[in-house]
Amino acid sequence: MAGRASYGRGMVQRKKKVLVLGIAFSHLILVAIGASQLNLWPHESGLGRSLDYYGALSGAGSGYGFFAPGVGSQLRGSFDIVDGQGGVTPNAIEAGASHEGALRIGNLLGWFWRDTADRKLQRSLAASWAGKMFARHPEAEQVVVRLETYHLPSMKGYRSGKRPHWVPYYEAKFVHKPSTSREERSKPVGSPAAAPKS
Amino acid sequence: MEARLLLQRVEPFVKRIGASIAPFFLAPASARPLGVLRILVSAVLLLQAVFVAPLIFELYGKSGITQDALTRYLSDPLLPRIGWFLPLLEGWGVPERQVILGTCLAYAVCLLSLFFGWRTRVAAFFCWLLHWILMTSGYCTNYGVDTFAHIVLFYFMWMPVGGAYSVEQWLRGNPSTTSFEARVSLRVLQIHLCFVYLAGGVEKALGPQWWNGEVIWRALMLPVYAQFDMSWIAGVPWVAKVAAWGTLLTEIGYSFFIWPRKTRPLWITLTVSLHVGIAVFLGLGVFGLIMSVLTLAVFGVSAEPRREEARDRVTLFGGCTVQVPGGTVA
Repeated sequence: MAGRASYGRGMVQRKKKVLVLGIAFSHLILVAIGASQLNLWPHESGLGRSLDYYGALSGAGSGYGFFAPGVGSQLRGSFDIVDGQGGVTPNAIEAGASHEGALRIGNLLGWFWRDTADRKLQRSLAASWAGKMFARHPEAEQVVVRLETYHLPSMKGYRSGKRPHWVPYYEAKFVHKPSTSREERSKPVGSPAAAPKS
Repeated sequence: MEARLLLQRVEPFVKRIGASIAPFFLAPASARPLGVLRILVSAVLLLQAVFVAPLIFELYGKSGITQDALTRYLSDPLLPRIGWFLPLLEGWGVPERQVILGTCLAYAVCLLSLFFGWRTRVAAFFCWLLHWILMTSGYCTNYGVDTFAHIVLFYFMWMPVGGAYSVEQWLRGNPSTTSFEARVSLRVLQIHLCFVYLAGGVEKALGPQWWNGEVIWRALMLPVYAQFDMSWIAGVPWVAKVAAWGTLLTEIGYSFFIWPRKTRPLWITLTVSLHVGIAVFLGLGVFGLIMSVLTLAVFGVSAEPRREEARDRVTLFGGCTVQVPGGTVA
């Protein structure tokens, strides 16, 4: 009787192991697919959406192409706060942040050139950042959002005397009208350079 | 008839594979590596929380640096965020700032509980959920460290990470537990890390910058990453090239050389050195820490059971099992 009970427990344990292994292997298959960034299922179907959601929930859908295939450039944001008397105070959105905080704000700015063709998104982002500066500086009547990109020569270029410098990439002026919603006049500076993936 | 013959031929082969795979995945293992991982990861995430704390309203608020409507547009609307329960709480008179502060504090408290290994599974669940909510709420600010924190916290819900070096074990009077679940957990983590480094290395190798060394030059010189004046590297480009090739070798070789006992210490050293380098020279401190911790804990801490560890059960011949009290092996 005791032997039969322990045999039963053994069978349960074996089934549990098979189940756990099956779940583990299935998860690892999704991890491998996520890592390779392959598109193996239609994302509009019910199964596809479920797999995508599981990938987001568990992190199995993540890619790991950091600094791949190379390192692109960097965007820097600066803001001119213009008060009612015409006084201009330069400001930075990451003022006072720790290095970790500055990294995260830098990631925010990087969304500006994720899709250089989407001008509406770019204006919305600039407006969002201008809104933050208005909130920080209630005396401001205008905020000029200025984005610059860092041109870094190659090692060969550096040896020949070229030096890194910031190049204007985008500029927009936002005016605070207390009686109505904020009005934007945007003035792109030249044509936006294609931003390599970083 | 032919199918039966084929099965008869294949069966011994399948049984041999099964016999070699089973111990690899299912032999009882100590939870010590998982306990170390739990402690170190929660410590790193607590450190990250301290760094991010001054910016929580700017990063996660409706009127943060990037406003909530934009964040919702850019991210998946089905992912959980603070905005899901904010209307309800604001309706009860709880202002947004308190909701954000409460979410972050709850996350920190759960991390502390995870660190000490008290109510580990519950703490792991809430750490994962709250971290996911914060990740989605600050979607545009995320980077690699958030990806790995999310993955590891998900695993912590299912793995016996409280089975060693925890208040729970201390209260039970056992140093750590041994189970097949710990072995499976460890293998999943190890294989996942192999996928991470192999995929990362291959993607890097597809870019010319990684072969001519420019990637190292650019990473060291970009203001967002630059910690020191490294412009001298332009005069000795071979240094950048060697660093880039070394990174490729470490990452692509990880999946192959981290397993054998003879090469494992070297590859752990190379990997940790790579991430320490990233932390020191690129200022990616939290990222470098969490990646170092993953390899150190998962491959550097022995999972082989010690005689004094408690065993949940020992499986004898024919599937009979006996409950073994801590400290003895049947």
